[in-house]
Amino acid sequence: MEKLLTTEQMAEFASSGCLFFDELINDEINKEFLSDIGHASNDKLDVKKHFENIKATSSIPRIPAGSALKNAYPKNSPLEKIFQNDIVNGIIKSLVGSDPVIDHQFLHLTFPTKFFENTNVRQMSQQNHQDNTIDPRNTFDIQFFYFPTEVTKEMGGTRYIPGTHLRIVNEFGIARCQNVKGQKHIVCKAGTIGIFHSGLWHGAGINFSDTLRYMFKVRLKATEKQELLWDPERKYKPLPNRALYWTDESKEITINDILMQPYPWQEADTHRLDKINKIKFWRYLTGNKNLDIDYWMTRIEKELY
Amino acid sequence: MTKRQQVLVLYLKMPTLEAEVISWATFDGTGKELHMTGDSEEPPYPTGLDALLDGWRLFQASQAIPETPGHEHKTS
Repeated sequence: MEKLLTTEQMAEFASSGCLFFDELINDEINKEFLSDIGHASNDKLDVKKHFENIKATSSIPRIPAGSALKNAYPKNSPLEKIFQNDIVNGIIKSLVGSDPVIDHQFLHLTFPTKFFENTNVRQMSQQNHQDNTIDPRNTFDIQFFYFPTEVTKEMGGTRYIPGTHLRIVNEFGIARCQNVKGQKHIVCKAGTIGIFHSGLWHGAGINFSDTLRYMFKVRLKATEKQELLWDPERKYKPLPNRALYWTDESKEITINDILMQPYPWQEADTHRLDKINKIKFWRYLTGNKNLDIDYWMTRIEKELY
Repeated sequence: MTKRQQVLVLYLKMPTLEAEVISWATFDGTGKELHMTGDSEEPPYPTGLDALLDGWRLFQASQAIPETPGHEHKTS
């Protein structure tokens, strides 16, 4: 039975645009995945040949865009086992429903420095981008990331900027922002699963280790309304208004605090627009079109005449 | 000796030079240092004014302007 996300996890996703599940996939499946793609010691590898070999011999199928996730992967393959995991199923069902389709998938390989020696290729990190060609919809896709090996700091795990997913841009239109306050780099144990909102700003890091880095990605699209999917009994109720600014000290963290958390990259003026967009996104996820948090919407929506 | 440019791009928290740096990029035309995306966690200067005080000359680059709603997928 799948394990749906909690309201706190959904609020974290709505606010930051990402969720992580450390070591969710067990070592047996991780080893099976690495064996299936023919992972070998670095000294024996040739970049081009390794990639061609994975495509030719692994169990990762070619999946036409728009195919159902159900039955997309061969029986008993490591990827089928990953998508049978109860927590993985719950994450997917909570965000994109019971019958999502695959937009695309890709096995990302990041080669260590020694593969760039004696070549004309400069080893560079990938620039920041959004995996969208200007996507103004409220509907969102999720990017499902699977890390079959440990990712150390030196291995240059995916860089991402929490909270940027509702800032709509045209793919690499943000490439000139080399560094952004609050940027993070994925460092994780083998078997970790990461979930990104399709709008989250990110880029691949540079691999300074001696080890090849892998990241398998699947982009999933909902085929149903993305409303209270994590809460099928529809128990979620918005919190009542609270006092603003002139308040007592409180250490209690509520859903609204998670949703309204600030990010270090936000400008002094436009961080308020981010709050407004987060509330609109939470309205979309909860199906409650009148919901407000800290009066941000009420303040601008109430026309008396 | 040919002069080479060093370009430092600072994005500030407010539209005033004394505001805090929230994003930054460095391109070194002298070839002494190679900078790239994600290579530092702290900005080279806390504010735009600090960069001026250290001798950097100011120019303004073009803004990144969002597409007009409804015309997002049209090209010029």
